[in-house]
Amino acid sequence: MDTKALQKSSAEMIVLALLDQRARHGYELAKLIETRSEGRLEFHVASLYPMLYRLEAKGWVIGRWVEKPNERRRRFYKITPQGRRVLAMQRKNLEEFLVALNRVIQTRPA
Amino acid sequence: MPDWKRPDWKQYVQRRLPPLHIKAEREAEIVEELAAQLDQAHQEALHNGEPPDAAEQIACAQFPSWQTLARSIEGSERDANRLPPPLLERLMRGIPGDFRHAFRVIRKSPGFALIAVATLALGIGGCVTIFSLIDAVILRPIDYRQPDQLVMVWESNAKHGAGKNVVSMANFLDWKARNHVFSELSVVVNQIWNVTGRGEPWEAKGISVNPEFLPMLGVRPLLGRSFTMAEGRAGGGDVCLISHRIWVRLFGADASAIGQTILLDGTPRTVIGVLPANFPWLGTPLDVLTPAQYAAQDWRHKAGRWLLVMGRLKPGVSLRQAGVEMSAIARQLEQEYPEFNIDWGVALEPLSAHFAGGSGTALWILMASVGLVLLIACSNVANLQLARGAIREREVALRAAVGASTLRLMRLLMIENLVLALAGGLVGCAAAYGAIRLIQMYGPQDLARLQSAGFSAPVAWFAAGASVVTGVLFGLAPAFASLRLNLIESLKEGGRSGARSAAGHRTRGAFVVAQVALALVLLTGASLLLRSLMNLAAVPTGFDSHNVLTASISVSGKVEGARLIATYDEMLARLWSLPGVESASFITFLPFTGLGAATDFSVVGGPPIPRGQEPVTDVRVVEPGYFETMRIPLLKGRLFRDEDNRIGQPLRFVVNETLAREMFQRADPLGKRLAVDMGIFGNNTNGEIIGVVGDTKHLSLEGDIRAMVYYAVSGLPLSFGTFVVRTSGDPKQLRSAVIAAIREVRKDQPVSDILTMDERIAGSIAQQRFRTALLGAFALIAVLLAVIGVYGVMSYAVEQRTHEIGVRLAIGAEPAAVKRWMTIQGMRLATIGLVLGSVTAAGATRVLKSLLYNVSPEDPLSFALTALLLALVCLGASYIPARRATRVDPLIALRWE
Repeated sequence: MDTKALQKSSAEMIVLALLDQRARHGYELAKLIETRSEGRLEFHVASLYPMLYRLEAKGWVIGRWVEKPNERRRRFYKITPQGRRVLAMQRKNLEEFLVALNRVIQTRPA
Repeated sequence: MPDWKRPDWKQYVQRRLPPLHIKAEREAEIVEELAAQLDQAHQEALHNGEPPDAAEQIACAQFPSWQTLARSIEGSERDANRLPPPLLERLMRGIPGDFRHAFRVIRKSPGFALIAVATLALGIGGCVTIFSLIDAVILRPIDYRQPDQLVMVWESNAKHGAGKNVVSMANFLDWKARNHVFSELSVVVNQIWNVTGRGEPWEAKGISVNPEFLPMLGVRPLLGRSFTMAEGRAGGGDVCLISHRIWVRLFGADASAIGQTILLDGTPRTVIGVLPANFPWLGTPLDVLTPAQYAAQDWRHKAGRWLLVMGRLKPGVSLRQAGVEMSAIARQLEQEYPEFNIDWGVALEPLSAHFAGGSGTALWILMASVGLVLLIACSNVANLQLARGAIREREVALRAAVGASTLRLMRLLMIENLVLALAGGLVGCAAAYGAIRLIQMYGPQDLARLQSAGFSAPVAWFAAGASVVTGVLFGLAPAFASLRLNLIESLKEGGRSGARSAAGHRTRGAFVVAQVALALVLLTGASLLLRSLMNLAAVPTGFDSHNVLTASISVSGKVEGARLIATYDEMLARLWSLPGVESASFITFLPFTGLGAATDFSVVGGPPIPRGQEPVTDVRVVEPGYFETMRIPLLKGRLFRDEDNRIGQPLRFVVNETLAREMFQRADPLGKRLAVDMGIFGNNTNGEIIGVVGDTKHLSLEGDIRAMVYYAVSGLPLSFGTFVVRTSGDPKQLRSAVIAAIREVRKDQPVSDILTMDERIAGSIAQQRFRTALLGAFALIAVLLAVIGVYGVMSYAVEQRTHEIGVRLAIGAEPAAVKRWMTIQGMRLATIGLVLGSVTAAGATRVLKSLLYNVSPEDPLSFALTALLLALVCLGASYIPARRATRVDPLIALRWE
């Protein structure tokens, strides 16, 4: 798998994981990714929105306009049951990958 | 309140974001969401104490490239919100690329392409050829106004086996007076005129008709006018219309022809009109049209049946309704005139069916046959494709692996097939063009409208349709095969393409079985037709047709009685004296030259026979020497002598064997007298039988032999007939000498149809020969294709099993045993095909029944022989690859792995 695809799927996993906690809007998501990875994950706002739209098209998240008094209308995204299943699978894959990686690294003769 | 103005981010986004090609409301949402993002980033920057300008810059920096953003949003919106492109665009997308790819693939394997295109061209070309004939002869509406309303009206008599009989004038006049279903009804009487006075004398063929005739057809004269009602009555004036051809030939296409006269049989007739250039008339040339001018008289008691009748149904009247009314009228007439009309009814026939004649069935059978050839060609090319598919498996698998959808792959393969099929169609059309010309030159000339066959619009559509359908037909199997392939197995380097070889082999085997079966059906049909034709050609005519030249004349002017006999005698004397002539004579209604005279007769002194139920005999008029010249054997009594052929001599008859047997059984006919009703010629006396001669065929080879009475010319002096000249050498050499000899007696005498007797007989079975030759050609092509199919599959099987054969040979199998084993593999397919083909043929050949002479459609000999022949050919086709198999070097075969 090339690095681009890897980045893309890991970015998707991050977004799904963030939405798994609660519904958020785009700006919040961007901020959260930036602060939680302490800037180590390079993540352009410019690629966040196309990704949200893609996840929405796949049916993994769903977007709704929410209006609050004295605030600008914002679009909130919520994970769907299908999105949850995808997220669970991705997590499992990652864990297995890390376990395997770990084993290889640990058994490697010095 | 801050002192800066809040930027209009929505407008900002709208200005920069390129169009997304998605639904407008969704695009607005996205614009709003992006604007919100910018707004919040801007707010936050301000909040963090950035100056307004910098804050704006920070916000804007989030979206460095609006182009990239738009493209990735478009990508994300995939199916959800993208506007569906127009259907046509979706279907067409990528097609030019597919075509380019197809051409590239075909260029890469020219051998395959050549074989495929040639095979398809054979099939498509054959189909187009036959369809163009069907189009011209059957399908194309005749060039008259509303031709579907035009019908031929016949009398019919089930008892005499006459389904479509010519009509009596008396009945025609009563039909005309009593019917309510025809808007027009006209007689059509075939005529032959001698045209003299303008250049070389010649014979014009034409018809006499009622004045209603042209308006009924909806044909207007190109020049001048049609006949008036007055001209349709006796004494209405000697007028005529001439064909466009004659107008050009005699008058140089000058409009002043109208009002001029031409001499028809010596009578001047005023030209009142010119027919349009392509006036359709049963495929035969029509030179002159004259009004039928029959006096009002008692036709009922004066004459028999001799008219063709054509009518136009009133609008809204169906053929069935007309049939019902006409049958009712016929029943009235039967009751009113039982002596004339007992057992006689009416039969209606659409004019188009009359024009197509009996060729309709044969042409449709040929069409079906050539369709089978095309099917075989399709399965052959499909087989080639399947074999090639095994090679191309990897390419296809690779395309599938990198994400080509199944549909997309199928389209790619189908377009490749379409290109091949269209190329085959194009080459086929070129071949068909040539074939049509050849058929028009050498085909049966009595096939109406054959000469108008060609690439009309329906034929072009048919050719295009046949090509496309063909492309789909032979493309389906390979395309589906490509769906079944196993990606992983196929992609492996050195993969044995075993993933689908079992299924593929079965498909190929099924194709070969079908090919052999279809080829056997065609071959059986062709052999039945061939046997029928051979039977026909072997039918004894009752005379010796070799080395006989014939020449027809019609003596015009008032040459009658003794003068007519003297004229004939003088001409015969000249012919006799020509070097190379053994004997010469004359007959009216020569055998194999169309219908002759026939009438009622009775034996004088025999038991009385009720009126209307008299036996019928053919009547011919001959000069002395006719039987000797034609070598018709004398069985009893004597032949005509010169003294019998003098006016005033008592009437004497020579009869044929059939008449003698039917009328007198074992008794001696010599000296008995016959009363022969030749009323129409004003002669109703009886005469004595002086001789009995052998039976001869007259109308056609397959027709039954009927009773025949021969008159001497003195007994019934008719002014037309045919000279028969027996020569010692090639009769064709004497053509011009014969014409010259006749013209020595009458300077302006036209002489027509100078043919050998053999040519006339051959002409009478031209249609049979034509369809046999065509079906034979199709059968040969079918066999060839089927053999190629068997050979191809066997060769492929041998190639695939090289390894297995090598192992068998290496562990000590006898090469002969291997050869036998491989041959049996091929023959197993062929045998299944032969069995299926025999069963199909047994059903299919039944449609040939009406075309066969003295052969049963289930003729066991034909079935057995063709099956055996095809089996032998298939044996050869599987033996050759099998023999190659045994030449496999075990070492090489084993190393192959």
